[in-house]
Amino acid sequence: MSYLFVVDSADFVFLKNQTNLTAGNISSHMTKLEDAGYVKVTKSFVGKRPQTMFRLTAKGRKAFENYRKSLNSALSCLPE
Amino acid sequence: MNAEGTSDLEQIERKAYQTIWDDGLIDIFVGLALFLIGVFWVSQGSAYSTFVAPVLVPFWVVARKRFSEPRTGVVHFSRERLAKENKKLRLLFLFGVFTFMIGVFWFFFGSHGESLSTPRDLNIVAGLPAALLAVPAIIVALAYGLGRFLAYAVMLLVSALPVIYLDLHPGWAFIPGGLLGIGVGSTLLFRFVRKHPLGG
Repeated sequence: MSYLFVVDSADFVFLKNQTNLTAGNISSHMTKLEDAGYVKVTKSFVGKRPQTMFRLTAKGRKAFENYRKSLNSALSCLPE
Repeated sequence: MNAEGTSDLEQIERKAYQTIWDDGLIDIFVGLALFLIGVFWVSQGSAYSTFVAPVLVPFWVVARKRFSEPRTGVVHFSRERLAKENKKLRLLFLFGVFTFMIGVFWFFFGSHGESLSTPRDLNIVAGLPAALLAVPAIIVALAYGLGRFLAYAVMLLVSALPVIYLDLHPGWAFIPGGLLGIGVGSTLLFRFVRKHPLGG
């Protein structure tokens, strides 16, 4: 989600390289995010090679911002 | 990290952007351009050297598309990032025009006029093209966070010294910097291919 939040869109290979997650792991994460309406998935072919692009939806961006705020407020409550 | 966690996100975005330059292709093409410009110029074919950069740029674009993108993946950056990069490119272009004008001015007035005259045994004008190219290399290093371009700038400046002191042909000053770029780029490319095998 962080990677998709800072860019406009990215494909499967890019996310795999950046996050060092396995293909299966990314795939299951993205399916869940797509089902929740947070990520828009576009499948196409570049030559003979399949390309799957991911883009955060407006709902996904809002949800990620709320998540960051909640996480930060929870962390700020912790003693030094 | 600040209260909103933006510095971490900026770091993630910067890291993602940096991967564009990790393949070493830009170093190889810049190095090749410098090397060919130097060789053509020294061998009295300076007319060819003017075509080197415009011919190599499309090759770099195609090489990135065909070679690097299938390995690193495709990413489209935000409008803010693209606007920032366009601003840097415009500044680089303006600086290129500015340095070119300085070069022309120095060439016509520095070498013949009295006001900008240099010690008679030093041919400063001969080292000027390489020295002027070192400045955009420094700008690229700072603007894009590519420290290795500082090494190319230093190499250009150092190579300009024997050209000035030994009164050599100005084209010689481009060749060591070009070879350094090709060498560094090839090493990066080798590492890149090992790190990102096709379909891996």
